[in-house]
Amino acid sequence: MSHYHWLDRVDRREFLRTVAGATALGVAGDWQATALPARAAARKNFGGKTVRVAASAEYYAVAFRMFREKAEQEYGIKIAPEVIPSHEAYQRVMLEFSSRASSYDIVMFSPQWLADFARHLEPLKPMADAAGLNLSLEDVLPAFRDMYSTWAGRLYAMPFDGDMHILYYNTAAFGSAEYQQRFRDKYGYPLAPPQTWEQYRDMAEFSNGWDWFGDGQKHYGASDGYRPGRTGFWWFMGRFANYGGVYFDEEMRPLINSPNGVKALQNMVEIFQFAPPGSTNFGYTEVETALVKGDVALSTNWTSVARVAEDPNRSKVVGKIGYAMLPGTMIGGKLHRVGSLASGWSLGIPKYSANKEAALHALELYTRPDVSVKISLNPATGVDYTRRSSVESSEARAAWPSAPKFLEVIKASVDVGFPAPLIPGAEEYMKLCGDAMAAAVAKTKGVKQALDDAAREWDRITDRLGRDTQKQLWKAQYDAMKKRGLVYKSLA
Amino acid sequence: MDTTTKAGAKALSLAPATRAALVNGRRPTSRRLAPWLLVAPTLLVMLATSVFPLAYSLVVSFTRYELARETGWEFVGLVNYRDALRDQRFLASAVQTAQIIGPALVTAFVLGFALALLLNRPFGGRGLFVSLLAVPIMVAPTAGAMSFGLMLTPKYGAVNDLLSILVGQRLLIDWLGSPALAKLSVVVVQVWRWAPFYMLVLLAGLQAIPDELYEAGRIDGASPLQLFGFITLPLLRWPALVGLLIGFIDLIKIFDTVYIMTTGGPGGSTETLTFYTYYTGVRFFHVGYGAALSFYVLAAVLLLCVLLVRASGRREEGVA
Repeated sequence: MSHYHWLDRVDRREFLRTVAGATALGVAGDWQATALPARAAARKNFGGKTVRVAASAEYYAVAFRMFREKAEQEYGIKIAPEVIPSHEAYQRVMLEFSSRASSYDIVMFSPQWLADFARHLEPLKPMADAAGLNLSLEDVLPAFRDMYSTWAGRLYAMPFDGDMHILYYNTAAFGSAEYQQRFRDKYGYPLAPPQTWEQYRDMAEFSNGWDWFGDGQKHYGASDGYRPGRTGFWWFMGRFANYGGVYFDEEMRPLINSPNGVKALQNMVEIFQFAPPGSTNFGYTEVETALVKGDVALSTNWTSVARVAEDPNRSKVVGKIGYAMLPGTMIGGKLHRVGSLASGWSLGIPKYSANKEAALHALELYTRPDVSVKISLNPATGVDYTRRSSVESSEARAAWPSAPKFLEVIKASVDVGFPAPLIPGAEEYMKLCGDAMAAAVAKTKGVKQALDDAAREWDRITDRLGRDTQKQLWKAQYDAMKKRGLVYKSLA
Repeated sequence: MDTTTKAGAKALSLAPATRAALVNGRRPTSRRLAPWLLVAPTLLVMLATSVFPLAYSLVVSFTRYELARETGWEFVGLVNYRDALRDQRFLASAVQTAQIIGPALVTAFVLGFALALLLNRPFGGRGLFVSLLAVPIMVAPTAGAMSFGLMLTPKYGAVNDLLSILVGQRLLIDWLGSPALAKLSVVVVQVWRWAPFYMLVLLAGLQAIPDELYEAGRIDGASPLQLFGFITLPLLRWPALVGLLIGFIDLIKIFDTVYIMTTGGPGGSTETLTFYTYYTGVRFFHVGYGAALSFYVLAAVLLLCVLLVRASGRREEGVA
């Protein structure tokens, strides 16, 4: 069987530029190339031109509707968001791109798809420079800017939703002296927000099946996302990264079935028994609901959950939720603890859009610092912070009493944020890994078997896409990760 | 053509070309084309919507074609078909499809038959009962699956609420959380959809059996069980067979229920043939491989169609 890879049809110069550019990932995207011009003094008016936006969820469409009037007033642009469910976004957008077309002027996509999408997107920097627009890139949190926005050294995406997972805990399960004593008697150490995944497991077990909340109901230990595929991958990734894993070794051999991966998945499987019923199909919203209804003592989820937890209209746990970085692992006597840049959503402009200039202006408006912070503060949008000015803003700090602590957790997590795979086929690698997680949790396969099978599938993807090319692109990503201190920690 | 015909053609004062065609024993061109022109729109639609896509996907199935990669087509012969037979996930999905459609078909058939027997007796409001029982056939499969998905939610679902009332204690059964229960849930939805279909088919079959046959049986001293075994069952054989094959052909393509209720989980335990084919071909754009997988499904469906046609053929011979 003859193998081919996607670069067979790509110009060699383009390939070299791609690899070289990808190598520069995290070091110097073209956002640094020139001094940024001041925002254009005279604003362009597009005379009511409609900019169609592919929003990957209704709560993102809400964000676009928030500033619809502002877009019309400032640029004469009518914003028309259209919801494509996030689980269909990749194929719906890619299907259009593959026929050299796009129904949308702005597409919202996960940065992991950038390797597949980049050739269909307009590089943003030259367009912004030509239009005299300032995208304020220096203000974007570095992890999102450097790892999640550029491909081949060019800026193709503006971060819109700065996703990352953090730890939430219900202080009602931790505060009582009686609970503290019972926990210490059983586990031999104090009951406090978990530092490691082993502690997370113990605390989930301790809190499971009794009424620590004082409402006469039985409560559960922990809620995490176990839904198969991409969704479940995010929860596996948070553990895998904190167990010192990386996706591949230098020779492009999968490491998800390494001892790091096995321990991470074993931890998930053990904690599943302390999760609310129905958790096999839990994703973002279900995990969020379990926390804000006071069903669980612990949870890991995206940062947007905090605003919902503090919203009296939607939450039973207002003022009761604490925040921390994801738990880590003791490796070689040291606590290894990193953040997890799970998913993220960015905005890009398809090459095939008929309204590229208007789209660029809309994109600038919606990612502008003062707009971005307001979108992120609205509990209805589900949008997380992407900008340093947002997490340091007085508005964000005053959002609820414990918000400053929450913002500190975000800053600490993003500084050591572990990225998802950023190579071609990332969506497929992640899906198969998430499926393996789900199989182990459902006990249709053992933990090692599930990961071994997934690793074999990963090898098949790599071979199909071209092992040498994938290897070079992974090396570029891994080099960028190393520069941020994210290196493989062998547990063997 | 004899002289009478020649004379007749001349006498009808036909156009010279038409007359020549008739004289030479051929129909005129316009008359020969007329049937084709009449069926042409249908043929064109069929060619465009069925034949061409089928032929196109057959060609694609012999290539390594990745829609997302701009690699173009690479002819690989039967490699995709060979790879499919080595693909553990594809093989597992075939087994899981059988595990779902087997029990679903048998249960739906038995239930539908029981309902048909009950409804075959005249009673007031029978028409209304039949109409109400047939409602699941009219509900869109996706809407049905979504409703069941909500009803089976552990904490807020109607099923656990009802069971809790029945047993007198709070039950939180995770219907879609374990492989066995998830499979059972998918089977129940299929039974809910298909039992009314069998009820209607078999009820029609029952009502087509002449009363004289039962009267003759009774005169000969046959018991009700004998009447059922020697008259009802043999005469329902063909409607039952056709109904079962239609159900089989439809169920082997089961997708919507799985996609909405379980997304193939938990742990891939409800991943069916079409679901896996969808993920391969549509979600990740391995179009060539996905096409090969779909042809395996098509082959299974065709096999069943052949069985149906042969069964019908035997029936015709039997009648003759």
